[in-house]
Amino acid sequence: MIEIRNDILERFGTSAYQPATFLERGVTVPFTTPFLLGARIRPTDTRVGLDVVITNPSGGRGYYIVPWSALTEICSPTLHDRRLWQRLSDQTAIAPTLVRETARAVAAEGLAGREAAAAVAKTRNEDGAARMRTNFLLLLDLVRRTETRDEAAIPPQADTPANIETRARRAMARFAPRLGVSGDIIAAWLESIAGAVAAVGVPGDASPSRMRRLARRVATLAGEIELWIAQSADPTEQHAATLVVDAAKLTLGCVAAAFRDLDALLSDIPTLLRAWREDSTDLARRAVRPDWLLDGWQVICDLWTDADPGLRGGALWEMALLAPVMPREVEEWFGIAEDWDRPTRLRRVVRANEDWRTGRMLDIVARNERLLAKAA
Amino acid sequence: MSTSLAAETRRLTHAVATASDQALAGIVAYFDSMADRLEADRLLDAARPRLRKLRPPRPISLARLLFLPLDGVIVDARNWRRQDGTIPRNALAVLTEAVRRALGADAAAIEAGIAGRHFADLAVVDALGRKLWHRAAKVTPSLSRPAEWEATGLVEADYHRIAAMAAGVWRHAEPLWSALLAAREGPPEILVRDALAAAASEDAVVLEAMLATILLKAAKPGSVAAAAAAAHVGPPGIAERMLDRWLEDCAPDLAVDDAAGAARLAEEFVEAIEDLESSPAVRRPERRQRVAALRRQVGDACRTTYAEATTQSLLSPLTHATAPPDNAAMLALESTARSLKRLEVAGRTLGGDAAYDAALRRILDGFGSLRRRPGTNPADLARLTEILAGSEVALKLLDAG
Repeated sequence: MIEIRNDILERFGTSAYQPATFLERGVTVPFTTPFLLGARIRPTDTRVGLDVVITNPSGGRGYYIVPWSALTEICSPTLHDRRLWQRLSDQTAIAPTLVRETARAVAAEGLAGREAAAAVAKTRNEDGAARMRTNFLLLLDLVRRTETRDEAAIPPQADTPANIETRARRAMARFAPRLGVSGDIIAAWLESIAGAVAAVGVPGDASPSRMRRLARRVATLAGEIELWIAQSADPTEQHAATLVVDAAKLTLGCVAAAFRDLDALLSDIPTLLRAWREDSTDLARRAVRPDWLLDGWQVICDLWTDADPGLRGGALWEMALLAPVMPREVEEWFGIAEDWDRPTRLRRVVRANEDWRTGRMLDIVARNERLLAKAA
Repeated sequence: MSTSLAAETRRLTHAVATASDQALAGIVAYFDSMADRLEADRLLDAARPRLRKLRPPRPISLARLLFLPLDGVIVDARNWRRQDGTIPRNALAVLTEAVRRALGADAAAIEAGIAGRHFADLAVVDALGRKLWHRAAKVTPSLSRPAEWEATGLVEADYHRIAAMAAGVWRHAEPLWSALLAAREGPPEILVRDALAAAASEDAVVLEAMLATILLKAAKPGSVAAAAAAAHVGPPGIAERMLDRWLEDCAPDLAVDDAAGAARLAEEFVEAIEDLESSPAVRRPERRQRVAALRRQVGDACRTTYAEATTQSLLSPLTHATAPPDNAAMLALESTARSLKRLEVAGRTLGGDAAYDAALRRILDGFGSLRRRPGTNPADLARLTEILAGSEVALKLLDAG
């Protein structure tokens, strides 16, 4: 049912995929078609239309870079993926947020199963709650920084809801003139900032944000694989495991730098509001860096946790094939230097993954839909 | 047996045979816990074909573990014929009891080890089975006919013949077990040869029993028969004879109400048939005809089961439902659809594409009608369509509006 047109596909094979920027690396699309698991989309060189970057699962040349329009010619995507493909076809500005929201809309229709649809509803509620909590924490910081010693006798977070609202209004009204705007504008800006940073969270938030939870999962994954390496006698399997751990550690190092940068910004709301007035895009740009850095890791973590503990050696090959390449752009972002050729050298010797050629495609699709439900 | 007792037994047998699947599983679990299974086995005989489909988790009992290497020659008492070299099921309990008494503390230790375990616990079966077969092989030749033997309705000579055959198989249970463990991979030729070569000095009936058990579990019966013939062990023609018996006993009994079981069985049959068709053991025209007949039988069974099960398990529940299925029901429908797709893929390799196309068309037309019915969730229908007919067809149904 899900056949691959190898004759067409081979025309798009390339080993020249060493993206310099995150946009060139592309954004992972949560496809459920086995052949497309972990595939990324990115703008074409001419910025007209999209390319799909697919890891070569047969151990041949490293990647296939397929024009978006040719996707349904080379394979028969699942119903979910066909709908997602239709929806993403109209998009020009590719980013993890956009792909995630589009994918959620498709999954919410039930096209990847009831479980995935229910997961989307739950995640949307959680995201809404995270935005409100972030907004509240930003307001509390503004209150603390604008009140007199007497006014702050009761810490704002310990006050009644009605009093907190009164103190927040006073704080915004008090601070607004310093920026030459109204209190309502400050409220609107804080709401926008909350929307921009809710996924990464603010310092002092007891509930870890979506991005911080994912970063922790990657750290846990790296630790578990290292333990697995220590217990595994097979050097070929260790090779795939090492590749995943190296990529995870590089990613975690960069993500930690991104969180430090954002935490510094979000620890002083008055300064942040001043900066926001001057250039709101700067914070937005920096706030999405963890999302770009961690893009692709959700499915890798889920492959590991979904696999039977006794069969994780097989899962590691699939994970190694999907381990994201780190673009040189991180040097510019955080000043992190790396041996940029290393991941590709390792990736070339990753063993062929034959699962997608077997007759158990429906089972693999069902597995991928399970992963999608976890990632929603 | 008195008239009233016989009538009561008939009534119980009928009750067991007609019990619902759930009740039957409960009855089996209860029988499995009984110390004396003789009567229980008689009552279950009528329900055995259904039990094979239901596959309830079977606890390991001393009798079942002891006779595992002889599975291929155990038959229902009413089908037993002296000259066949088989063992009637009603003899198992008596033989087991005799072995248990002879083993004493060893049997008690093994029974303690298997208590509460199922045959899925392969490590337990492996460790304690090897120990049991080894000990049973040693003590059985010196056992005299137990007093309970008369109750089986068999004569003394039957006891000696059956006990000798069982002891012979248990003596070589180690290499036989190695072959059985690899049954889903063929088993490989070398394991078949090793098992038979180990028993080369035994009576032919022992070799036949071992081969019958390997064939019963083998994924590739043609390769097994060819390997057995090439081993040149025992009297000539033994491999062909056992293969013929295997072919005679083959019954492609696919359950319409168990899509997963039907799919699994269909796939196993297809693998076996393809292996038989390429096996040198199936060169003779009359055997080729038997295999061709089996192909037709399995093909017919797959087509019929597919057509009936798609209607009965997918279309009917949706047609008669007053509300869209809940999450659990939808998951079950999708799981059934996946199994039916596997059944279709396996069945099509045996021919009859047109029948599958027609059945599929009928189901899709049914889904199309449901799509227009108010209150239907189009995504549910599209999901099932995708599994059965592919995503392009599903997208068309979804967008049909």
